[in-house]
Amino acid sequence: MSVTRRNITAAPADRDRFVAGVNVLKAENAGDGLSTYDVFVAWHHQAMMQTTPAGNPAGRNAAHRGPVFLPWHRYMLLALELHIQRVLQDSTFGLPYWDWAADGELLPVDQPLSAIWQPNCLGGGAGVVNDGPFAFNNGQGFVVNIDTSMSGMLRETRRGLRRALGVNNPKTLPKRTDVQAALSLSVFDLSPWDVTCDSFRNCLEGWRPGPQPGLHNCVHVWIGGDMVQATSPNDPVFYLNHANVDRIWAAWQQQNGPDVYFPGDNDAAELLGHRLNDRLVSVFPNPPSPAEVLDTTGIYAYDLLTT
Amino acid sequence: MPEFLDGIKDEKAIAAYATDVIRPALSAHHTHEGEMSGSRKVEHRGFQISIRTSYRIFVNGRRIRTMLQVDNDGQLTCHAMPNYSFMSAVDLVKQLIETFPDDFDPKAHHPDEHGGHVYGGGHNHGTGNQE
Repeated sequence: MSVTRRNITAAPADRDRFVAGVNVLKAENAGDGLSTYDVFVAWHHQAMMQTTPAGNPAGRNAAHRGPVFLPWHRYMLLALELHIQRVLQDSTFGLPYWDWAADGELLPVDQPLSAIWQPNCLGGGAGVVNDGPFAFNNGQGFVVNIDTSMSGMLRETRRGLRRALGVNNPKTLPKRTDVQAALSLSVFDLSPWDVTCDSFRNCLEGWRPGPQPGLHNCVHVWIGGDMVQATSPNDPVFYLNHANVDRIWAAWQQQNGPDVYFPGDNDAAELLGHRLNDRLVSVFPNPPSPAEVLDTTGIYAYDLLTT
Repeated sequence: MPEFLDGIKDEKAIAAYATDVIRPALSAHHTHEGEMSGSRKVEHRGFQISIRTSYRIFVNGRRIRTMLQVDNDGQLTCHAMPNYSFMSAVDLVKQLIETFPDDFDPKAHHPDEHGGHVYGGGHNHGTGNQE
């Protein structure tokens, strides 16, 4: 059954199911002192630390800095969505998205005060999150169990979720014109398949036009705190950001064709992990290739593709 | 429905990943020290250009350990802050201080193998920082 993904600030029932599902996954013991939610956090970190292929000078990893950025995160979102459906016993649940470009139209001083950061949604963010459903509550609430050190290595911790909304440069969220500029790029990706190319993928990931972080990267940086570490899925807003990124990709696919993806199978071995039928790095058995996640018909759809 | 969706529903895979991948990664932290060098390789009219850049960065006299990379366009990136690129190593270190307050806590530093002190290459025993 196909589910519908809606704007979190316009769909309170979806918002409440998302919050409830995250908190159940956070409490669910996966073994070794980790929760199911923590496993998703570590999966993202491990994919990021795995250069594909190993040692490539462009720094492409199994989920970022290259063409696989969009399909890998689409797969991760699907996995979280299915596990929230499982724990809520609700197969109608669809991951909500955060239309951050709408907030980007507000004055920078007003952006940290928008609806998503209110206590009835994700709570606020100046330091440790102390209100809303992911508040630390002196260790009785939402606890970050794993993060990274400055060396980038995974480590255990026990602390509250951290945010620093609007503190880092650029001090504003992307605007609608920034999204439209990305959607105007008709080339999905191209050589050298890294952070230097002028492609739709690279612009949406946020390495172009530069030099400041753009679109997806800008949202991570604007939120700050845990969202700028490789363990950024510690903050549930990670999934709302990526659902919006995925929605923008879906809009691009509607314009340019649902099956458009490069590089293909015959491209160079140095693109291993990013080609059309290479397997995505996964926690789960039988992971898909990029080709298998291009068409989401029958799985999910967004309520609105315009931005 | 695509077959890969059945794989996602495999709950045993989550437990196996916690034991087989995450736990060893948490332990590996004790021996890892970040790479402080970048290597660029490009070809120009048949010439193979290779540029290796190394960094020795100190904060309050203590050496910091992190993994840096220099792109072919000269931008610095850091594995620990994957959404950033920097034109300046100074700006990068400033952002490291903001992003990893625990690592720069004077009480959290650890001696390196030469008896000196480092930020970022040390241990974490899971005792955490209560807030």
